[in-house]
Amino acid sequence: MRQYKKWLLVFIILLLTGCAKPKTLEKIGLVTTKGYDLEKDGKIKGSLVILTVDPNAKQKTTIITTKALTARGNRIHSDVMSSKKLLSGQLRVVLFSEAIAKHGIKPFTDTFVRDPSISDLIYMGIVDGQTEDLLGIVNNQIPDVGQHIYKEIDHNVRWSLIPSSTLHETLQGNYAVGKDPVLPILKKTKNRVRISGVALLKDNKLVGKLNFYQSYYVRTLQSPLKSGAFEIPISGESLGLTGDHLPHKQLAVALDTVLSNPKIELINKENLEFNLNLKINARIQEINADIDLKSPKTIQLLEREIANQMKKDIRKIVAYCQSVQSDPFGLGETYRSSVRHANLNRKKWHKIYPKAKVNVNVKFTIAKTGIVE
Amino acid sequence: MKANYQPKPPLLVNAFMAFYIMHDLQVGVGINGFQRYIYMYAKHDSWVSVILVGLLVHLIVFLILKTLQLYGSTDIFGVHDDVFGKIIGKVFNAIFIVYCLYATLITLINYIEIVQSWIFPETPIWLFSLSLFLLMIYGITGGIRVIIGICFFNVIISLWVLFLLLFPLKYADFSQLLPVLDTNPLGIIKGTYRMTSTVLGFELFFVLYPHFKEKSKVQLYSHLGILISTIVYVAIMVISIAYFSPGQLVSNIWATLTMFRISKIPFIERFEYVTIAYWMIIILPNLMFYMWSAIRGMERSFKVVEKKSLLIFSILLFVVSLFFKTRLEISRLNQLFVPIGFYLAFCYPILLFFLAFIKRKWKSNKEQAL
Repeated sequence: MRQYKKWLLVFIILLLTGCAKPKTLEKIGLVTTKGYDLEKDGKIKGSLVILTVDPNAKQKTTIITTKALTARGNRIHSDVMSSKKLLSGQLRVVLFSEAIAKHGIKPFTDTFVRDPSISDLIYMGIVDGQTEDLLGIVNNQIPDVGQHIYKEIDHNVRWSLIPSSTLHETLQGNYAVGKDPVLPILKKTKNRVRISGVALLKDNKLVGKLNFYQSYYVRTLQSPLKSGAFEIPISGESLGLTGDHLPHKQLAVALDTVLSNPKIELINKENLEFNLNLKINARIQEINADIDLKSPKTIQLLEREIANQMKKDIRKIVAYCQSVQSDPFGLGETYRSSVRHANLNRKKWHKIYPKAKVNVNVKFTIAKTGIVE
Repeated sequence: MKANYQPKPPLLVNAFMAFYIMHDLQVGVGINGFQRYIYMYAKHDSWVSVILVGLLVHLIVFLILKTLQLYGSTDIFGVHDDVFGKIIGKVFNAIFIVYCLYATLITLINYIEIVQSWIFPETPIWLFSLSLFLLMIYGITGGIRVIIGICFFNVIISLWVLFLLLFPLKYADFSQLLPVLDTNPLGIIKGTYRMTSTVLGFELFFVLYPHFKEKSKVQLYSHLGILISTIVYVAIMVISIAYFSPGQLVSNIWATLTMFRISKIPFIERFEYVTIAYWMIIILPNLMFYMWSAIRGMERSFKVVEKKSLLIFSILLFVVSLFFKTRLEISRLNQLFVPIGFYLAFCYPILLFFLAFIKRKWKSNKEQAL
């Protein structure tokens, strides 16, 4: 009798297993990339890149573009245009056109974070132009544009060429008191996707843009790094050098960061003054002039020359960020965490931030010159 | 009913099990999303509130065990009977039983809500509820030693979950913890009050105490258990404050799960599915301990056979659990539990200790006088 009861229990538990909805891979369409444009009538145009699982299919991806009032509405409209049930568990990248980002991306990030099937580590990006055009790139070197964009952003983030812009970090920046998020800007160039800079956000809205050259500084000033590469134009006057063997005549150095360490200090609470100290150790990879790197004096002069140029660049970027009231460096976080009872909130910070005085100090060291001197 | 209660030797366990039981009871379904309620009041000093609660629990458990030691070997039902007399004692016992059932219901419903919100939105409540009750009945009919056994293995094999805390460190910004002790003391105390409902579970030592073999060592091992759970809670709180920005933390219902979900392992991309399913194993002993305490009280105080009350309570709670469908209802149920848990598990043991102490003193004085 006891035995019989035990088996009955096991049997009931077995019966319970069939109650969840199955999702067969062949019957679902995996949405890997989403792009949102603004229509003239104020509606949202959503383009979804869908990965096809069928190995016999000629095209690896399908793109469905629909118009709706909300991002979820686009999904519903896309569902009725698709042969498969669309699911966003494999979503990797979300792109916004500049026009829509200027109106604010809050409703979009909100629906993504509400959905448990969407990962917090998807990348967000801004598109210079129409996202529909960018996702619609037909290029036989790019079989799957969704994967291509994801990998392009991912490896550049990993190698610290652009700031990281995952959903989590974007939200963290948007909700933090003294920090604003940055998103990479993508552009369709010669039928390829190019990262052309970073977009500055304030209260979820696009307020400014920095070019690719400037985005290196934004990334470097955010957190300590062990990688990164950049090309910096310098004036060769103190070295007595000009790039005269080149038609362009602009002397420039290509560098590879070994170690960079930014430090923000608050030096005056009342009149708001910050010290922005940046220490960079780098390797010289190329210099477009005839120069003797054996002499310590030349190295010193070169270091000073580069540091000055960096200072100038950073000052310009900080001034621009202040003018658009966006704080990608987290100066406000420094203020909040070092002033007791500051009662800082976003509104207050955005009001006092443009008036802050920021002193930039750069200490640049050439650590190595490659395997030859 | 005799105040002294000595279970038969086969029903006894070693005192060091108190460590595992205490840790397991304190870490339950609440750990998935306790941060927001504390953060609302204590801001970035929330970890101070968590430490304060830990200290408070040490004090309360010390008093609970001292109260029981006054009698040698007894449980709360015997103490009630001795302190308040037969009739009022029964009323207090009934309150404790209802409280245990309430705690079972809360754990059950909150877990089901997590599963429904994260993995299976379409699957009905009755299915989860029924399968959990079947498991519960199966364990409880095995007796207290089986429940403690499940609890022991549970703690050992759940250790890997702690490693998931390493993943969010990549995105953590520890400057968000600064400036330390910036929130006003009232906020920290309010946060402490909200935290009390998360660390509940230790009050069941009122019922479990007679089942420990070496009574003198229970004190030591249970405090070790509290220490470990407090460390776990503080670690999660500190990492949450560093990982989330204030706005995110306040709006997130399950901050711990949200942190766990960014873990990516080469062979499994969405790790929260494993964590959530695994959480059932973690909450199962909690459900069993609470339910067992309730039916224990029925037998001790009202002489109802264990199996009968188990069946009645299971059916009752199963039916009640079906009514909690929306976030609002569940939230209201949880809100109501906060003061109840606070008064019953944190304030009442202090009062009971003094009452029992005075009663004992008075009794022994009277005996001496005779």
